[in-house]
Amino acid sequence: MQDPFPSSTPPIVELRRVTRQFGNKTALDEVSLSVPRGGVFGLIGGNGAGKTTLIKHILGLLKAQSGSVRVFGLDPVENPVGTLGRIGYLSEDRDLPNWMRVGELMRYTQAFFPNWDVAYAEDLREAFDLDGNAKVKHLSRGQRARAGLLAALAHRPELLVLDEPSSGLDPVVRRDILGAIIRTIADEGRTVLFSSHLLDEVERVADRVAIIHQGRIMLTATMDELKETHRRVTLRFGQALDRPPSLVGTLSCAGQGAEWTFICSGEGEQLRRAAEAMGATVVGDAGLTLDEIFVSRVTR
Amino acid sequence: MSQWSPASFFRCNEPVQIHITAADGVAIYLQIVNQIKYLVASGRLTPGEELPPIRVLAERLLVNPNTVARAYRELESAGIVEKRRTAGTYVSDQGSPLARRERVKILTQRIDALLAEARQMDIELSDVVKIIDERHSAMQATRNEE
Amino acid sequence: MRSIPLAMTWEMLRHGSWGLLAAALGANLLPAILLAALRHEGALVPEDPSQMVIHITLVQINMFIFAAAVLTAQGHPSRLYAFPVPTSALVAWNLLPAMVAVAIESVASTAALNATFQMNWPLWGPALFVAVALASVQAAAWLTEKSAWMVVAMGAVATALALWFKSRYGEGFSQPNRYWMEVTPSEILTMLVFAVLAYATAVVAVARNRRGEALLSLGIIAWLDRLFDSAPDLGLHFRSPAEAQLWFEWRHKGWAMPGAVAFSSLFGFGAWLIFSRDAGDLFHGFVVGGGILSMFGLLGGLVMGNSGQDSNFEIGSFLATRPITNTQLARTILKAAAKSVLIAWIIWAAAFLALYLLLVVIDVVPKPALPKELGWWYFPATVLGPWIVLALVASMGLTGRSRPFLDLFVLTFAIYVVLSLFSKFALSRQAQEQFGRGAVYTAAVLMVLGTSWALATARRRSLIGWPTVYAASGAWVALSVPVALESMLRSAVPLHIGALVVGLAALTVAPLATAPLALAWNRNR
Repeated sequence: MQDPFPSSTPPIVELRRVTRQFGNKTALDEVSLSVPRGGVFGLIGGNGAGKTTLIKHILGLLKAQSGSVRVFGLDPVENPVGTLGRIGYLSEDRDLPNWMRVGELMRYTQAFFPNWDVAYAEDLREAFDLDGNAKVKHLSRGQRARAGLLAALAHRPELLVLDEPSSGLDPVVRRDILGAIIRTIADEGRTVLFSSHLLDEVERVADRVAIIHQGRIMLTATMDELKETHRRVTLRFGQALDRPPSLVGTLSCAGQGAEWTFICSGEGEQLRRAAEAMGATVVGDAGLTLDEIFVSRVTR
Repeated sequence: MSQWSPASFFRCNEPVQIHITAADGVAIYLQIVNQIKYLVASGRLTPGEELPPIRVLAERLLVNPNTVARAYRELESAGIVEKRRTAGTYVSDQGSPLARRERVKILTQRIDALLAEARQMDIELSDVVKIIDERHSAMQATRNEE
Repeated sequence: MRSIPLAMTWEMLRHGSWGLLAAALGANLLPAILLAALRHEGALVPEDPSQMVIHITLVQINMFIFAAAVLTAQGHPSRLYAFPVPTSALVAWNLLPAMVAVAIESVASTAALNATFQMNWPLWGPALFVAVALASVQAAAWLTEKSAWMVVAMGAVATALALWFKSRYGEGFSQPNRYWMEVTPSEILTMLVFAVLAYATAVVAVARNRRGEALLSLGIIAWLDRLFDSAPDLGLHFRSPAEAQLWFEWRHKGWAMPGAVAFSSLFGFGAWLIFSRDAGDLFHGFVVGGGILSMFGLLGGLVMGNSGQDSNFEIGSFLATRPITNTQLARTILKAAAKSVLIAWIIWAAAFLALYLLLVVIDVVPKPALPKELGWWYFPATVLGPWIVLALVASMGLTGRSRPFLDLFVLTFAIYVVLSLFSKFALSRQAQEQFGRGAVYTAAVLMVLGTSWALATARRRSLIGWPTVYAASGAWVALSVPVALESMLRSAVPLHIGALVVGLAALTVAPLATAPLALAWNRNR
């Protein structure tokens, strides 16, 4: 499948065989990930799969116990200014200084990022309906997320990193966040990396997706590839069967009697031929949502 | 699955709606393609009318701009729309045989579905044709009254 | 579990089993050691007032430790709010097992000590008292939860109760003159009244909490909040990240120590006005206050060293993702800390000076009673002392980990106890002096070594540059030189004191290295 971004520029984030243990628990196991410049990269996984741990490595909050991490070609631990200065980050817990006012937050953050666009920041503040005099601790959850998003966007970062941006937020704020993601990559060369377990959102905006499960990257692919190679095929056999026959690339199957539904990964033609070889007719062939793909991949 | 409110963009005060859902596994770009095809075929998008820029539509629908770009490419290769250099994307003139073929294709799909349902409900083809005639006459009558 | 009280008692014991045991052991070990030491000296004379003071103090410490353990072992009643049990029962079955537990421990502990040391300390009075005290303090805590009044309320209740307890042994503030051997009916009645009041308060408090109602509030805290709420800094314009970060540190934490010093000075002044109006007392109080500044350094250090939200010292992701190096961040924290110490010192010094001038004016010049050993060195000491404490405590806080330091603290305390006991019991008088001096030498050497290690490691990891290392070494020498001069020019300074000064001078510059090291350990885990 053609990669929509066959770029010759080096990847903006590169993890090579990163392993991380917390005591006995292995949070990341030989994780290798490459986020190309431009586009939206979705990191999906269940709770505790390792998404936040991975993102913390990218920000230099965790040192790789083995393997290497490079962001913009630099080590984020050694060079926080060169990496973090070009990243806009919204954390999962929306950590912001509670005692600051929104206006102070904007001016404080401005001092750290030379690319801060004051007019754009003001536009965002108005669009998000944030009162400059309000204290952060008095903001509602959604407003807090918007304030964090403002601080992350206003300097037009090359890389926007969002850790579970929509969790716990109402649909209106979620729209703001998705809108911000799309506007970011509509600008040339800017990249978004976000982790989420709200897969319908990932499906809408991501170009590439990596599935992480129990600390391991299960698969990395473009969204198109993923959707084209995972299908739900319903086959009708000549006679009733007790157990479904195995079809190459099957991830799961269900059904009874003569009709069995398979969720499989593989080329469409291949499946058809395999089915015909077994004397079955294809009565249904549908695409899968990202949610279904993820579940079938992870619960094997 | 969450459903997003329909995007509406206003041209000459006429709302044109595209509705994207991630619920049934159909690729998003295909949904866009199909809906624009339908809008063109039903006359709600007139030839020569400009489609919104990729960026704008992507933001309205909250989908990746590349998806919208791909949809526009498909529509272009199907002859539904044409790209004018740096001036945007416009609905192409419907007189072209390519466009008419597209319209016929949409209708054929609808007819296939109709026939499949008729068979399931055990209604014979002759009956179906009779009903079509009746409904057509009824529609003509109401249109004459207006 | 067939009944609520049984279930709650069982849970308290089960949940707190280790904690309760440890607390009981610890709370009893201290008196045991102390009494053993006294007996060894042959000083165990029950009628001596100082013995009574020891008894009262030890008993109160024992009560405190064990009661704290019991309260910790019990959860907050809010766990059980959704259960079909009326609030009155909930509170009763929360308080009663706890009261019984502490009373039993008090009796058992006193009985054991009485038997071991052949004393005749009172059994029942303190036991009943501690039960009532626990209920009262718990009620106060529940009433003022989540409010700034909590510390004040608990402190006030505890203080009032402690005073009453003390009054069982003698009048008011004077020396105790008897043991509380018999519990008179009026005392039982008083304690019963306390207990009932506590229970009633507790029920009201828990009921309000359960209904989700706000605490009774006089609005004072909110008013103070508004008063000190600074106007929005509209004209903010930072020329560099360092400037922005310095603003951040100062606004957020810098005022804590100066504020505490100012407040305590006012408080102390108020107390002086009430209890004694002797000018000499006030002067003396201020001199002592200079020494207490170092303790405020502890508070300041805990505040400035906290890079996380609330009481979690782990650095928050907002601060950790600022595009600023660990070196710069540590430097701004130290700058803010220095400013904090300086302002606190100036507040004290200005008040001191004003007072002195005032006394000169009204012609009541007291004898300048500066601490004998230090003389005029007292003044620099009052600014360096808090700095050392604050900066080192802040460095500890900046590591973002509490466990190693708690362990270290316990270990140090244990070593200190062991060594003191060893010195007291196993060595002759002369050997004790040498031992003491040896301990001071060791401490000084450790300080110097520690500082050198910190500077070298920070330099190796490129957290500080060579200029910083040179500046630190220079300052270290500069601070040590005066001692050498003094010893050469005037009376010989005892060698171990000189070593101590050199060690302390090292600690003055150590934060330049320890702060960035700690921060790096916290931020990049």
